[in-house]
Amino acid sequence: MDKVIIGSSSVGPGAELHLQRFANRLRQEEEAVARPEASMTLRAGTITVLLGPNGAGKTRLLETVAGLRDPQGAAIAYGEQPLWQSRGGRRPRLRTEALRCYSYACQSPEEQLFARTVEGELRYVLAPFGATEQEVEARMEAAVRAVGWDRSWLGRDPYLLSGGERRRAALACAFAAPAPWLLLDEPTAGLDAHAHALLAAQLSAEKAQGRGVLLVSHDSDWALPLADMVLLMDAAGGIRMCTTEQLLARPSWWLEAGMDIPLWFHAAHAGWRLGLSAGQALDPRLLAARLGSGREAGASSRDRDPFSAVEAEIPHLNVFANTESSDGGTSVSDMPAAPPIQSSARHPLMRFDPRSVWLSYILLSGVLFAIQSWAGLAWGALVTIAAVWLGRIPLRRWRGTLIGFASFTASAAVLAGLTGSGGDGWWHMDAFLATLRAFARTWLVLLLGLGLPLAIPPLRLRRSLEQLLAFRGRMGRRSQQAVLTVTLMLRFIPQLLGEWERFARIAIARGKENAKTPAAMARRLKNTAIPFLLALFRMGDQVSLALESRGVGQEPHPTSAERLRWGGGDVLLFLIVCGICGGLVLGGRLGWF
Amino acid sequence: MRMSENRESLRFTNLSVYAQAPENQAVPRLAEVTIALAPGEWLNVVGTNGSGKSTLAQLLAGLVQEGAAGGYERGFAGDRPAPYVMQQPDAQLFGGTPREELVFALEWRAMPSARIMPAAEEMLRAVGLFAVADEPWERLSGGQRQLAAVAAATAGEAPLLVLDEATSMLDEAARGRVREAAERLHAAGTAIVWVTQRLDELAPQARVIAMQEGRIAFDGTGRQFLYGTDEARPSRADSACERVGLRLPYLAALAFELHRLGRIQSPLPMTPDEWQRIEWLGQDMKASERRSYSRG
Repeated sequence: MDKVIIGSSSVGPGAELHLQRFANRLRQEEEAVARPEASMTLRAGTITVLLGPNGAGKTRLLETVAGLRDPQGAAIAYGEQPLWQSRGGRRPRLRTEALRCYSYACQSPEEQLFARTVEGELRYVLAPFGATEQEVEARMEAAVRAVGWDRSWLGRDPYLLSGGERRRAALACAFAAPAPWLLLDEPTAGLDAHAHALLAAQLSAEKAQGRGVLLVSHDSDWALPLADMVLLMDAAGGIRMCTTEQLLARPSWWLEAGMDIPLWFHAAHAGWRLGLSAGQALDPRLLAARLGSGREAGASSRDRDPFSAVEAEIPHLNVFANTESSDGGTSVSDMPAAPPIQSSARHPLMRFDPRSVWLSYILLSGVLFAIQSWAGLAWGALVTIAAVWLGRIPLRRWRGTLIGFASFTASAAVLAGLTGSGGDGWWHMDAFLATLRAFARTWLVLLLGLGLPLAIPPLRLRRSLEQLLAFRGRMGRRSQQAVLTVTLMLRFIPQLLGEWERFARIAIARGKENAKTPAAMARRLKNTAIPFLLALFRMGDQVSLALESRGVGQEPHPTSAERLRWGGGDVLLFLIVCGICGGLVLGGRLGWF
Repeated sequence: MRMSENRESLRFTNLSVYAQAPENQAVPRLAEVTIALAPGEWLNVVGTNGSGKSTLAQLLAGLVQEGAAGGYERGFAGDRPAPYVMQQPDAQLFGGTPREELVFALEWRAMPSARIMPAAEEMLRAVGLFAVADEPWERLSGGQRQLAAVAAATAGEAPLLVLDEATSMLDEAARGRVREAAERLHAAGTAIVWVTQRLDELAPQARVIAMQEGRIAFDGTGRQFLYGTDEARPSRADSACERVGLRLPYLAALAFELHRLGRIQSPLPMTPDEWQRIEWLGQDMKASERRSYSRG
C-alpha cells in the first residue's frame, strides 16, 4: 500500500499505545496505592497477538482500548493522545482525536456494513479524517488492493457479496483509515487459506509502514508467526506479556492462562530447544529441515535462555478481575457470568400465578394513569417504588430508557411552559405543570411495566395465557401461535438490547464521532439501526430453524407438564392491590391529599 | 420422536439448492450433491464459510430449504426434522432455565403430562445439568447453555442429530463436554452430523466430507483428507484440505516435510498419540502434554 499521510491526522505513524493503571479497583482499594508498574506499552510498527480462553475478556480489552467501554480507572493513550479526558468530578469524556488513532474490526466485522456500495463504506470510514478527494481515492484503491481486489470492486453492493467477500470488504475498511493502530478481533475466522495468507502479508506490510497491530486470534498457528509480542490473558483478568520466543521457552504459560497447549506448539517448542529461533521454530518447513538433519532431539542444544536476566521484568498484570459479566462480543464464555451459588433464591414474583401479577399490574397502571393531583402523584410514586422494591423488578437493564424518558419529560414540560396558552408573560406555569404531571405518571407506569417481562419467565407467562384462552383444555391453533410468538419475543428482548448496544458501540468506533448533538445522534442511530435490523433477521432465521428442528408449532396438541393454580397468595396479592388502587382513587376524589 | 423401524440410509441424489435472489442465480448454494448417511453413522463436514456446509447440514436435518430440487429420501431419519444445534446457544433456548427448556421441548413432543417432569430430570442428569436445573441462563456458562440446547433438541429419541459448528464458540473444556454428549448419543445408536471449522477435531478413521462452492469436493477418512487418498503415499498435491481452500494446519505441513525428508513413514501422524509415538520427537511432544485434543 502506498503511504498516504493525511494532514489532519494528529497522530502520525510511530505512536505507541500506552495502557496504564490497569490494576483492578479491588486491588487498588486493598493496597491503597496506585500501581504504576501495572502498565504496558505496545510499540508502533509491531504486531501484538492477544491469546486467551473464551470468556477471558479479549474482546472487552479491545473495546476498552478503543474507548467503547468504561476504562474502570485505566489510562489509555495513543502516543501523546489520551483516550479519555478527565473533567474534574464529572464522567470523563471520550476524545474524538484519540478515536482517530485506531481502526477497529470487531468480530464478524461484515455485520457492520450498511452502505450500498463498497465505495460508500470506504468513504464513510475515511470521512472523519478530513482528507482531500485525491487522498481518499488513493486510500480507497490501496484498501481494496490490500484484500486482493481491484477498483472494479468499489461499485459492488456488499449485500450481494458472499460472506467471505463481505468480510474482505470490512477488512478493507479497517485498512483504509489512516489511523496509526489496527485493532482486529478474530479477522480470519471462517476465511479460506488464500485470505489467511493475504491478511498475513498485509499485516506485515502495515507493520513495516509503522502501524501498530493488536490482534485477537484463535488460529494460533497462523497468528504467532506474525507476532512480535504475545499477550496471554486468563479468565481472572490477568495478562502476561511476552515475546514469542519467551512463550516457546515456557509453554506452561498457556496452561497458566487457562488454555491447553496446542499440539502444534509442542513441536515448535521441540524445535526451539534444538536451537532454532522463534521465527524458525514457528515455520514448519524450517523446523522439519532442522529435525531432518539427523541430530536427535534428546540432546538439547539450547543453552541460551531468553530469561537469563529479564524474567523479573516481564509484566503480569491484572486487568479486570472480578468484573461483572464477561460478555465478550459474540463469543460465548465457559465461565459462568455470575459466580455459581448453591441455588439462587426464587424471585418473589415467581410465587404468584403470572395472571394475578399481570392483572395487578394492569389495575395499578390504570389508576396511575388517572392521577390528577400532585399529592396523588406522590402517593402513586410511593406505591410504585414499594412495588419495584418488593417485587425486585429488574430496572438496571432499562436504565438508559428510563433516564431518556425522564429527560424527555423535562424538556417537553419546559417546551409546554414556553409555548402554552393561558397565564401572562412568557412562562406558562399551568401548561408546564400539566405536561410534567402527565409524563411523570407515564414514567411511573413505565417503571413497573418495563421490568415485569424480565421478572416473569416468558414460558410461565405462556402457560398462564394458554390456560386463560383454552377451552376444555385445548386452544385454537391461531391463539396458540399468537401466544407462542409473544412469549418468544419477550424471551429475546434482553438479547436484542445487548445486540443494539454492541452495534451502537461499534458505530462510534467506525464513525469516530461521540458528539451528543441531535445530528450526530441521528447519524449514529442510522448506522446502528441498519446492522441491527439485519442481525435481527439473522437471529429470526436461527430461532425459526431451532423451533422447526424441535418440532415446536407442528404438534397440534402439545401436552402440559403442569397447571398453574390460582392460589390463596394470588387472591391476597390481588386484594391488596385492589385496596391500594381504591385508596388512590378515593383519596383523589375525596381530597384526602 | 420415535426411533424409526426404517433402517434405510438417508440419501440425497443430485440434490441442488438454488439461491432465491436473481443476482445469485448463477451460483447454487448446493450443487448436485449425492450422499448417503447410514443409521448410526458419524459424519464430519468441513469447508470454508459459504462453501455450503450449513445448507447441507440443514437439509440433512430435514429442515425446509426453499429452492431445493433433486432426489431426497429421509430413510431412517424419518419425516420429522431432526434436532439441529447451531453455533449460538442463545438463539435456540426458549425457556429461562435448563428445566424449563426441557419441559418446553417435551411438551412439544406431546409426551404425556405426568411423565414430563421425571423425564426432564433424567435428561438433565444425563448431561450433567441437574445441579443447575433451576438457574437462569446468566448464571450458566456458554458450554452449559449449549449442553441444554443439545439436550432439549434431542428430547425424546432422535435417530439423527446435526451439530452445526456447535462448539466453535466454546473453550476446550466446554467443547469436550458437548462432544461427550454427542458421543453418548452416538453410542446409543444416533447418527451424528458434526459440522466443524476445527481440523484438529477430525479423527484419522472418521468419515469426513469437505464442501467447496456448494459441491462435495471430498468424501473419505480424516487422514485421507489431510494427507491424500493413498495413505501409503502421502502427497500434499493430493491433500483435499488445501484443495477445498482450507489452510493446512502447522502439524500437517510439518508431517509432509518430515516425510519428504525421509524422517517419518506413512501413515502420517494426526492425533497426539500418533505424534508421541515418533520416538525421537515424541519425547518432547509428551513432555508438557496434559490433555487430549481430539476425541472420537
